[in-house]
Amino acid sequence: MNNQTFYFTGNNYAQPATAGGNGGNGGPGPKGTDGIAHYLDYSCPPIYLVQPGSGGNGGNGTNGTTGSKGAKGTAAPNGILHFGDIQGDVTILVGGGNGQQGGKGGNGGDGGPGGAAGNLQKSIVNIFQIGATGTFGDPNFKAGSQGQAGHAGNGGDGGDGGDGGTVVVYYNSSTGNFHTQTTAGQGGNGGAAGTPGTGNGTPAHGNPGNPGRPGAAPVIKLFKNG
Amino acid sequence: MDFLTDQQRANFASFNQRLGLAPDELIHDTTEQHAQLKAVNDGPVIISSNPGESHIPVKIVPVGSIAELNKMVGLPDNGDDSDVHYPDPLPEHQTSLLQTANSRAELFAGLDDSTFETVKKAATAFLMGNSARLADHEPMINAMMFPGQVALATGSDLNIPAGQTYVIQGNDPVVLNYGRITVGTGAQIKVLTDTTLSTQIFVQQ
Repeated sequence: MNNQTFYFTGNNYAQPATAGGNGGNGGPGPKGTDGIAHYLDYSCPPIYLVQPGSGGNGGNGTNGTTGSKGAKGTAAPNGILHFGDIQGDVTILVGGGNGQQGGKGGNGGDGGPGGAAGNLQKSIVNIFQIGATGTFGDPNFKAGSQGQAGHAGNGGDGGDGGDGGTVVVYYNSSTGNFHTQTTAGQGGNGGAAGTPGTGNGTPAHGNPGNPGRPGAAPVIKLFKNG
Repeated sequence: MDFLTDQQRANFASFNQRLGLAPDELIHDTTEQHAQLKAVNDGPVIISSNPGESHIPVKIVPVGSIAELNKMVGLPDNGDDSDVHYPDPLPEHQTSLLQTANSRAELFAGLDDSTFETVKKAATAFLMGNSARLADHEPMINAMMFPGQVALATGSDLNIPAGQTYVIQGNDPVVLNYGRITVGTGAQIKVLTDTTLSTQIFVQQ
């Protein structure tokens, strides 16, 4: 069929459905409390007056949400064609528009950074170095861990294909042939899954959406006038 | 339209009258069509129920009811309706809204999603099948879809050059009545809205 004389169809969607919302990033963990220690000498263990605290863990990232479902495809329009006398072959195609692609899943939020460990105020109290002071980190007290990563959102399901229309053709005579073709509007593809957040744990990757179902089949009817 | 026989001219006039036009009324002639198309670049030529975007002049005609639209473009009630889908009656809690709703907005707010689909199918069946079988649906069709309008285009010749695409589109139905339509090799008529076309001679080159 070199010529496609008539093509009844619904417009396809230019854009997928709305993507799911991204998860929020976790907040930073709280910094540990500062400590105070005296040393007789740096080669000796400290005498803690107040122990510094370790940093708190970062907040967990929240999960991405599922993408929106695609809209149903646009139905093919209906047609009534009175051709009279036809010269040549006529081709008529009818098919509903494709369903809209589902929305992409939202990305998972990142886990928040762990809080820093508290600092240690050190004072040397031996007779040679008395009064020497400084603020240092203390390897016995560590920063908090990063929060848990948020799960990726699932992709939205694709929209169902558009329904076919009905095209009715009347003619008086024809020197050629009719070629007709009907196609169901195809279901839209499912949306892609979102990306998991970064952080601790094993965040789920999410699943792509399911494709939509085809639309109802169109109808073409031909009648030769008596 | 000297290229038509007396019978074909009579058929053209009859269809024009069915649309509420004078028997020989042409909304555009071939000369005007060519002038319009000179303004169109390489993109498709648009025939639209929205006159502002239509490259071919159209005449907007108000339509008061589904019965009026059926008189203009519908198929005979006694035709083959084997493929026509006649929807089931609407539930009472939906039809009762016709008596209680004070506005179309209030009516729409009370309708179920399925009712919109059902009424759309009923309107299609009204035009394509036996309208008498849709009597129960007729008040709801009119309340939801009318008054409306259709776009009419009539002329002696519609020539679609080889490789060109004509697109029939818009939010309202489009009705075409021509003496002769010629479609060049590789040309196409893409239809995106409900369309009724009548031509006495159709040539596919």
